[in-house]
Amino acid sequence: MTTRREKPGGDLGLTPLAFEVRISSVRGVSTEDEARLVSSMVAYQAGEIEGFANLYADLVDELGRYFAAAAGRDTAEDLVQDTFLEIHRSRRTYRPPWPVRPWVFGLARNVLRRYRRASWRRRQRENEAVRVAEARHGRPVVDAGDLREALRTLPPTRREAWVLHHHHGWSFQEIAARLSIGVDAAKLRSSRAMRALRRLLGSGAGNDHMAPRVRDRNGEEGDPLG
Amino acid sequence: MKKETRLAERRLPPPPLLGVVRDDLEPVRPYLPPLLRTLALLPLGAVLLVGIPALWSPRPNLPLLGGLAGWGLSVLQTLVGLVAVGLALREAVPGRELSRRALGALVLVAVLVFLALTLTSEWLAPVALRRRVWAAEALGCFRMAATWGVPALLVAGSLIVRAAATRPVVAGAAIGLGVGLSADAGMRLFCGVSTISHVVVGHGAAILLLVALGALAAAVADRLRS
Repeated sequence: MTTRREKPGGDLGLTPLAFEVRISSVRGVSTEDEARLVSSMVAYQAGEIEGFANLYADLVDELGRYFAAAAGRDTAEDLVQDTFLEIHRSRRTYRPPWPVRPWVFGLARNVLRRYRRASWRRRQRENEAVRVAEARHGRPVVDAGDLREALRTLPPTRREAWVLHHHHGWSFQEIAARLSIGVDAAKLRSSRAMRALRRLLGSGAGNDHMAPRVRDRNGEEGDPLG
Repeated sequence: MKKETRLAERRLPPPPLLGVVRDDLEPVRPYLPPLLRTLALLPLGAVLLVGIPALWSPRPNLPLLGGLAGWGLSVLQTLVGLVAVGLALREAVPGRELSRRALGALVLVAVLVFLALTLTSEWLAPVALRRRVWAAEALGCFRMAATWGVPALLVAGSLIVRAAATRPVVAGAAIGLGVGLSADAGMRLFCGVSTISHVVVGHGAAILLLVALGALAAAVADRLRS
């Protein structure tokens, strides 16, 4: 895809030998591997899409493993994409020929930190939604703890679509715009989340008050949050 | 073979991500290294050092201190402040974060220089401050240091905001410390009072304020960025 791998350091005004010396002076770095990443990064900063594609190919698996360990497999893929967007936004902050991996994983930590902050806020909103529903119905529509747990078991993407639609009252067009997905994808996520919630909260409980109450715009019956 | 094909496919950026990157792929020039950006802030340090005594008047007991203890220690404190700014700029680069030991050393050196300047001034040019004017003098110095320091913090802090610091609060606090020390270095050439209680409360509080403002601004910028 690129010829830069054969000529490390060429764009930096360094001879290959000088480039190797500078790269190998960084502790614990595999010279060849790191040189390839640096070359990709230099090409990327120069405006070449191949540089980005090479960087993606070299790092996507490592980032996937990092996020899977830190945030779970369901979320890892989304966070990897967010990290590459962050890399794109912040590409000026990388200065060759410093190692690329610490820079990339520094940005990945930022993405993870923001994801955790957003998750925490979402949980707060969900808890608030449960309180509002309880206040509105005078008694719990469903057990608040059960609902929280059920929501937590959903993949974050589905949960977000469901909460935005059923709790915040967003249209699917708004959700699609917010999540950068299609309207059909937003409907699908919400619908799958609803089915999962119904299954999780309805089975075994046998309580009528857990049955859906309202028919929503998606053609689904009800909303456990009211 | 199928598995290899699947892996090869997975290592290509997804089309939406590739589209976003491709749409905004103009060549970018990496930021200058922290050292050069710090050198670019030398005029700011000089303004803080010379501006305060030049705009009002140098401290009346400056001749008692002599060149080395008067100007020399203030210049030294300005340089330590610029080092703090440089370290903050380095801290703001993902993957180049400072170790705890380096951060501890920075704080220690800052405190030592601040105390050295205070004690030397007190020793060579003691001033007895009347109790009834103590608070007014301390407040006056605090205000003046903050008045000079806050705009300088905005200038230096803009370099942090553009970065993608993994520890924005640390980077912001370090840059606040640097600006605070530099502003205080100028204040010492204007304020003739070296009483320890006055210096700690009036001057030290201004430095702490700038540290807090730097940390707060960096945290807010990080939130806005996400």
